[in-house]
Amino acid sequence: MEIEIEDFGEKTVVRVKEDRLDAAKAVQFKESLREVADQTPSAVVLDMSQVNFLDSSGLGAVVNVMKILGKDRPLQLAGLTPTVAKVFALTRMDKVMQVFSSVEEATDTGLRHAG
Amino acid sequence: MPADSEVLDIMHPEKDTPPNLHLRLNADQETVTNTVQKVIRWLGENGIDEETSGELEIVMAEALNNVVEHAYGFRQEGEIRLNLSITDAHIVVNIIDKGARFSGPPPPMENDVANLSIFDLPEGGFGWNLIHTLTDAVDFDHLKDENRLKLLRRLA
Repeated sequence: MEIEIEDFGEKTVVRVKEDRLDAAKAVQFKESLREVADQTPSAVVLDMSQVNFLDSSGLGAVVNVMKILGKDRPLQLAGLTPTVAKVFALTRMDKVMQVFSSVEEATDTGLRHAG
Repeated sequence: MPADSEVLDIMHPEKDTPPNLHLRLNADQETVTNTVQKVIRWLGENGIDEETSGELEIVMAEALNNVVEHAYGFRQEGEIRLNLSITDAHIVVNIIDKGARFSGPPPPMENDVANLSIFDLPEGGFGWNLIHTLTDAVDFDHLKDENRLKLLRRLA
């Protein structure tokens, strides 16, 4: 499981560098994100823009990470690709997690650069 | 007992109307991942649009991983037969295994996660709801020690 971590101060961005987050990858994903959760005090933005496929096991892993982070460190999603967005919408998990179109939007960096 | 012709019909749905795809795969998650991607390429080569094949990718991943998990109990062995056929009107997916007897797909469930505390959110149980939502018919039969799941998706 390859992830990349970038600290934006108020938020930590975790870029998932995998094409698929499915049953074959769900356990590794949970383990990697648990390590991130151990180290970060801030909200986490999960950059999903490289993930083209997510199944219910992958979704369950994302929910698990959300619980580990708890209420004070919300898990936010950015850059959902079409099939992944569909799974979040059909399970209504997009109502539970905040979804941004991009990392820039989630971290406000786009606005800062524009201003 | 079913007649042999009935068995053949299940294994070779609409056998006079190509294209058909018949695969046998080992019941483990890595093989499911690779097989599903192979099937998606095949659907694309046969003119199925990306949105439909993306939805069928979800359906097949859920159904096949259920077999790996429940029929074969994560033993990483056991055979799954996966047969697809495309007609003008439908895509039919048949998934057959010889694992533990399955009682049949649960009906669609209403799960209003939006009103739950994050700590009460389910981490599983989404699979069958996704399958029901993204297909037009789900049939299941247990015959000759085989679980036989048939999924039908209408084509627009």
